[in-house]
Amino acid sequence: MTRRVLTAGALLALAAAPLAAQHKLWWNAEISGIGMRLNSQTGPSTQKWSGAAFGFQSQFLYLNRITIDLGYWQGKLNGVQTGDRDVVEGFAQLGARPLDWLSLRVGPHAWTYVSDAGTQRWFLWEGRARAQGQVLPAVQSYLEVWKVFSANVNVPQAFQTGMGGEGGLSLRIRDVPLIPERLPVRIRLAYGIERVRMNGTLAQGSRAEVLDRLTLALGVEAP
Amino acid sequence: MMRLLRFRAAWLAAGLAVAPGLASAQDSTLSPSGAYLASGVRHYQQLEYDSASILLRRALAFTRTDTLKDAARTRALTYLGAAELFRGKRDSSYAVFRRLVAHNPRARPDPLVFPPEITTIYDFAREATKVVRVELPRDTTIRIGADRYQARLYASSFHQIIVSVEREDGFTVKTLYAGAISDTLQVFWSGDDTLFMANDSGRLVFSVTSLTNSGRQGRVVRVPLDLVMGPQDTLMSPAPLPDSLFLPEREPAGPGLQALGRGAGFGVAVAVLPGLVAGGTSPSGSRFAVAGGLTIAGIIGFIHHRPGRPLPDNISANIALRDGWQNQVRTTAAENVIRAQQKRLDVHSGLPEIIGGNP
Repeated sequence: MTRRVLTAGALLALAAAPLAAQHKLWWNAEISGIGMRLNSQTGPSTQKWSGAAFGFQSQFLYLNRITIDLGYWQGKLNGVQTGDRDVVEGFAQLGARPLDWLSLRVGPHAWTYVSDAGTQRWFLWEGRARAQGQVLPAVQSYLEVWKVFSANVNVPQAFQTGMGGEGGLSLRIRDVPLIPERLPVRIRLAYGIERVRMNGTLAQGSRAEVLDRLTLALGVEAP
Repeated sequence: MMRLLRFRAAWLAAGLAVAPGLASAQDSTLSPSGAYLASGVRHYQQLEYDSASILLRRALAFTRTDTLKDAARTRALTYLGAAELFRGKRDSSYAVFRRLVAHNPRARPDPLVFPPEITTIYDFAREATKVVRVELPRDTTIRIGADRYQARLYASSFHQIIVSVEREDGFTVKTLYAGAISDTLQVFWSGDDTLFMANDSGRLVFSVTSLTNSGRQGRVVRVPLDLVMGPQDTLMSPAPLPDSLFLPEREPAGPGLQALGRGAGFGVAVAVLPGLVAGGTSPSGSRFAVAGGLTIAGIIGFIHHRPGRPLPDNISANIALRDGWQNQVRTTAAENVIRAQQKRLDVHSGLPEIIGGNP
């Protein structure tokens, strides 16, 4: 199913790409810090963590239509009346950009919580849609929503549903001393939230994980 | 002895009758005169000068539609002159080469093909033959007072010439050149002398007279010029610029509203995102920082692209476009004023007529 979606998306994107408008390869790369708040509700009990993770994210845009997105972060979440967790997160997604303002992509998104109680692994297949546009000549905004197709989590409950969203704005800095003209810098501020729900037996109880994050990123991009 | 001569003559006649047929068989595209020429050249190359001479003369004798073309005639005369010399008929060779010079003053026997005795006798013939070949444009148009009618003359050898434009009755309208020519000469005619023409059309004759060494009239080449005079064509005034070429000079509503939507709209979406995605949980207040930033950016974007705002770059581009068009209109009008004062002369040159001095 995933393979069919990927193939259809790639073909659609290439067919829609006017040859004259195609740039061979565009890229950006950024380092980012994420302030995280995690609510984990199992049955009637709720546990909360908050903390920060740091890492990088990059996007490659081929022929103005095909996208590859990669990201990796790791950090520490401090528990509120519960134990701390280390968190490692990453994703690798392939997508298409059928219109200049719209991107679609699918791929795995995984994270791991490491605590004294053990290691909890989350492996999700997601499909994302992102609308973007220019607000001012140097300012861009975007809104992204995603849906989790399937999840593999080493918790007793079974995956039921998952979705999320993120919105933000970025400022491109040019014509500033120290910043080369051919390598513009972009600062991005974004807020995102996602929730995954799992079904369990009466004894296990249902589970809902809500993670909201505030991202501040600094990156460079191809001109 | 008589029988032997008759026998030889019979063989020669049979050979001559068969030769064009053979040539035609080899190249069916050749005309009969071309076939005789090819056959004559082949006989010359096989050192059969008698038969070559007869065949080449036959090739040259064709008239009307099967006349040899310029280059072929030049080739035929060259080989015929050479063949005559090798037959021991020096006077005949000299006469043929004079015909060659008269036909084409620029022709020269190829020294790689013909031995020095041939080129030498040719040079004597050329030196003794004072002719000029006239090349005129077949059909052309000149602006009287601005352009000139151009004639190119090719001389066989150094001599004196008189170039003039005459009426058909021989009255000289204008002498264009009187002097020496050695190889090539360009002569120009302004066309002013046609202003007297009734009904703005008529005929003049372009005449080139070659003088002998003693200064007497030798050969005259007369080329009739059919002339039609009319007003100059004027230029079309440039069409008015279509509106599609002009850029909008004021900001339309679209970009401002788009910026507001992308900013404030996305800001609102971020603010309500937790309710849509994770209803029931208490999200962090940090989303309001992002939502506020987006909203402010959207409002600034709307103000930046506010509807009706003058667009200086587009205004400048449109002014430049209008100025360019007005310049074109002015230039065209000025050119048309000049053209209205000028006459146009259509000149058609006919076939040259050669009088006297025929070698």
